[in-house]
Amino acid sequence: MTPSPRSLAGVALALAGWQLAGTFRPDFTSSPTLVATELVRLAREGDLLPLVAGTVATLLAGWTVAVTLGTLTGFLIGRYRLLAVAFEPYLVALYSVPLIAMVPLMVIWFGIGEGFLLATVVLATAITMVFPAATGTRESMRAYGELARAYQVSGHRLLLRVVLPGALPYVVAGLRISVQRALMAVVVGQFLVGHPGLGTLIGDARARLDADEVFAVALVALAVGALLTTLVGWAGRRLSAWRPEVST
Amino acid sequence: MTAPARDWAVRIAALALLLLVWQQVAQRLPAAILPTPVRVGAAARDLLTGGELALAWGQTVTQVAVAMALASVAGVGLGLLLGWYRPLDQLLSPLLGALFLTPRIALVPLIALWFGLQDLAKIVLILAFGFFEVFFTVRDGVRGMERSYLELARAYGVPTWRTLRTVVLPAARPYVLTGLRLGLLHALVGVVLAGFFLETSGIGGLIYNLGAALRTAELVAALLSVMVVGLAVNVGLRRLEARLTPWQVTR
Repeated sequence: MTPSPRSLAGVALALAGWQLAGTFRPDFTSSPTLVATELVRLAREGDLLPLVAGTVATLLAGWTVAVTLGTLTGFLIGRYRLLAVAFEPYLVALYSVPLIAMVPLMVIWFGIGEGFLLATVVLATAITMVFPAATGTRESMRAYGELARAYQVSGHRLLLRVVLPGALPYVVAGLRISVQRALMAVVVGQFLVGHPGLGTLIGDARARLDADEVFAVALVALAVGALLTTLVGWAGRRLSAWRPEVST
Repeated sequence: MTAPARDWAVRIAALALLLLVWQQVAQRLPAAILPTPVRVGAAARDLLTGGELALAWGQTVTQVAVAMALASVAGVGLGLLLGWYRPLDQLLSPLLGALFLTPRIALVPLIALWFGLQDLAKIVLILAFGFFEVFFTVRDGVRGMERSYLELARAYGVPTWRTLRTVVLPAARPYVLTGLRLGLLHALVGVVLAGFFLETSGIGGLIYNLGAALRTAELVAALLSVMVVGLAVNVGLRRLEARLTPWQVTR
């Protein structure tokens, strides 16, 4: 997708306005040039890149576990009606509450190290995969279930060869939302307990309230969020290129 | 037994099983790590009768009300405008999209710089969480509405303002309701984080303090109150949607 001239004009206009505002109150609004200088300083002196890379590594590890757990749960309630009847209302309940509120409890259970961050990401993220995977499983079984039975495909072969490929477009649609939630979870965790990473960069900016740093850190977070979403979107399209895109 | 009644029996049995497992596990662990359901129940009663929970939610509800009022005005207004008028959408969408991709927590330092740590800052943070759901739902709803209605209105020379009022607005109504429900659910995340990272008050502040003091039973009770509110918001507003716009399939 190439950006339209109007979109570029909008961005250019915003940057120009920001630069202009910075000439009046740089302590309040900073400016694009000041932020660029600050980003270079953070990269040189503040370990910006290792901190961001570490955060992304933790996020990806936790996210992988969360996606596996959530998808598996979704598969189970999509496949077995009894499990769906028994647990779906409670899973829906978990889906509509701010699970990030559980972070203080996670601190009590897991301390403030890497394990705590992983647990936080899993807790906040896994639920987003459950319903896409359940819907995908149901659709997949509806379309291919009889055929699979006729050919006596069952057990793990049914799961790996029939259900998962059929459910893939739905799972892929859930991935984009879940990676954004995972980023939020890891940053909140780091911010709260002071575990070094993007979260502590935000914490430092929040403590010092230096306008250049505040904007620089927000831009770094934007870049990480945009990069992750784009990568997951791209990977998802590659994975399910042969199927129609679905939205959930 | 009829099928729905049997389903509910299964559900209640599942809940009872979960509670039983929780009770059994918790009895073998220190109460500071995992309190038993009975203890959590007692803690909930203490929080309710002591007024702590009411105080915290009272502070929070006002902030949410103001923030969501702002979010609905801005979200519905911008959503209608950008969904209807493409050039403006192309101009502004990259900026709004960038703001949407930024994890909202990264805005906390900026909000602290511009608005301090008190009520105003918290309202802005909750607004940042609630706004986008309203805006995107309304914009996409207006964008996806039946083009032939608009063409018909234009063919009959209906003035722009009247088209907006009599064609676009009614078509957008279900999306407005859905957007407000999703926005309010999202705003609850903002509520919690506002209590963690801005001034420690409201329900988020209460959860933060209880966790820091290792008052685990009260902490779990406070978390349950957040869950009950989230659930009530979701179910209640879904019912309202079904009643006000019965022709719309809710998301």
